[in-house]
Amino acid sequence: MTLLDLETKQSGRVVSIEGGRALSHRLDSLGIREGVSISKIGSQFFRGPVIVSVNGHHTALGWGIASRVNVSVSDTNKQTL
Amino acid sequence: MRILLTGNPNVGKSALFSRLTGTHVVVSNYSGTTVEYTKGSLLLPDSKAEIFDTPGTFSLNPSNKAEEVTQRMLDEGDLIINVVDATRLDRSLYLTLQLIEAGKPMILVLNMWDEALKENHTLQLQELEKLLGIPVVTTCALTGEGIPELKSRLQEARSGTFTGKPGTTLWEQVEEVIKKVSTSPKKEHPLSLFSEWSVHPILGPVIALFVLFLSFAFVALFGDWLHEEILDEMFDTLWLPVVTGISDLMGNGGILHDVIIGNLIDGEIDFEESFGLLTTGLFIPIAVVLPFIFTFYVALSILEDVGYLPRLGVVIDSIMHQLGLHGLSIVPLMIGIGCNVPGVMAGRVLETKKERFIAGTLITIAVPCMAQQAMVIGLLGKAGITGLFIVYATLFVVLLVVGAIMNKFLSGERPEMLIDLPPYRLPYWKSTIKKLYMRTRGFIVHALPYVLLGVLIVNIFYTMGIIDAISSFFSPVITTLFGLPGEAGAALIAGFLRKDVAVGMLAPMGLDLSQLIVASVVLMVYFPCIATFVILFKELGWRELLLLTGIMLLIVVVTGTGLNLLLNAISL
Repeated sequence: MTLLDLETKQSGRVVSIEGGRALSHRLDSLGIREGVSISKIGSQFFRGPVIVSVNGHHTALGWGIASRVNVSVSDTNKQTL
Repeated sequence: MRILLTGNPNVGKSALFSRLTGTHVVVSNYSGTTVEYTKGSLLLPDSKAEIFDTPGTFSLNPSNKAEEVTQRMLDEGDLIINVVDATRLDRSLYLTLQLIEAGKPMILVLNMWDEALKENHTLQLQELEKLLGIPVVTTCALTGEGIPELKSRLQEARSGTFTGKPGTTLWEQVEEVIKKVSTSPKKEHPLSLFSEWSVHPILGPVIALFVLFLSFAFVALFGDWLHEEILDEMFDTLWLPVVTGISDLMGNGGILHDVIIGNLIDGEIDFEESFGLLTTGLFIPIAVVLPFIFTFYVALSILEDVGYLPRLGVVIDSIMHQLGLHGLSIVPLMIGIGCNVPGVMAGRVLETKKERFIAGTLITIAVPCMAQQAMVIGLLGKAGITGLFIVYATLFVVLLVVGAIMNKFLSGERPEMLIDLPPYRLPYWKSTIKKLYMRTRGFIVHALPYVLLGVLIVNIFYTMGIIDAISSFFSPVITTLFGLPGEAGAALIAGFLRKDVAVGMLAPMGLDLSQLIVASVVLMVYFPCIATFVILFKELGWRELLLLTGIMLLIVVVTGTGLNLLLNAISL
């Protein structure tokens, strides 16, 4: 699943980032990297940006970028879905 | 000595820069790029240093233009002041460690120290100094605390000694440092709830509309007050005697008098109706338009420094995407509402050529500047709100349609927003004022001279009968397509160079409401002024300017004709 599939207020872990090195670098400098715990603060209608929180810092990712960040949620979280 | 201020965006770098430097500040483009930096000078006990405010960046892996410039400026600097947000040290250290690796002498500034204390962050400063091998100073740029210490410790700056464990990533090294020096409270920022609301899918747009409404109400009220009570008065008491004297010297008439002073109304100069270079020509841009540009930039700069603009960008992103832009491109477009010239200049921050072209075109065609709005309100205001509403609604539709078409037909990648949302903050008034000054200056320095030149040209052309000749050439278009009387052509053509003349000529023609609406839209859609034309040439180049002009003429004809037909069909 990607960041787009995460529910608002749900947390997950970044598994991988699809796309070139440039994108990985940009995301990395904002703290969004493989293995990091991430939670979704919200999203907008009509393919608008997704807002996430990593270590309490908020970042807005355009829809297309969010679709390239793969995340996994732990089993306990899945059951609540 | 060249000192560089570096750091993440929104850590108070500019505020600190204002604290460190005097009033004399220069903004320049980094050579070969469109990225701007600010330069000032700093007086040290035994020497004088140049200090450079570099673009905010999160890393030294150059992934955009601003970061490339920061990287290149670093190579040329002698000393680095790395500013970090003390409440968000973990986020900032990533860049700090990269800077240490680069090896230049540096000093670390923990800004917003007062807030960090308030939020119960504990930091072992000495431990941090020892670990990184560079001096650490705490400041509060808002109040000026810590600035003297920063100045006095600049000479202690040295290359950092920190090296992470081999095989660890930069973030792991950041965590390693943080673990050793700090315990941060797991407390939410006091305004984080409001921060969440302002990007909420439903509340966000509601808040955005409310904020924009408040801003425009402020501009309307305060701008009008500045115009009526301050500048109008100043022109009457200080400038009127001067121009009256000049008029008397010229014998109150003649061709030169017509150009410089204009027509006397009942034997006296009327700043609104004489139309001379030194009378109406000077009065309209300075006393009527400038107050609104100024107040608009007051509102915009406060919104920006508080941290609202990135949130507005989030809310508006999906609409902007349809136009080939992304949410943050709203900033140049909004600056364009004040004056198109600084708006087009602000388009420099956009990454791709396609984005800059689209933004420049949209600003020119569909974003009405204060001068255009003043003109249209002067024309249509008396006829009630309906006409104004139709004009603005038409412009909005033109914005969406033209943007969508350009997005479809211009090649180039699709931009995506990726931005840190900083916590809401109280702005430091001095750096807000500096920004306000820079933007207003954009109008005064880059637009006003051309506006005055335009006035001069129109006046000369007018006395020579050239405007009438051009207008009779175009009058078939204007009468058949736009449904306007032939004489209106002269007004529309003069409007490119002089808005006041266009209004002055259109007003007595006895146009009906639908004709006034068509004329207003045409005046708003085409080039706001010759200054915008010049700045577009500088920013985009002549080929893009030609393309833009072609698009603009097409849109003027299509919109003018379409609106004329539509309004007649519903017989407004």
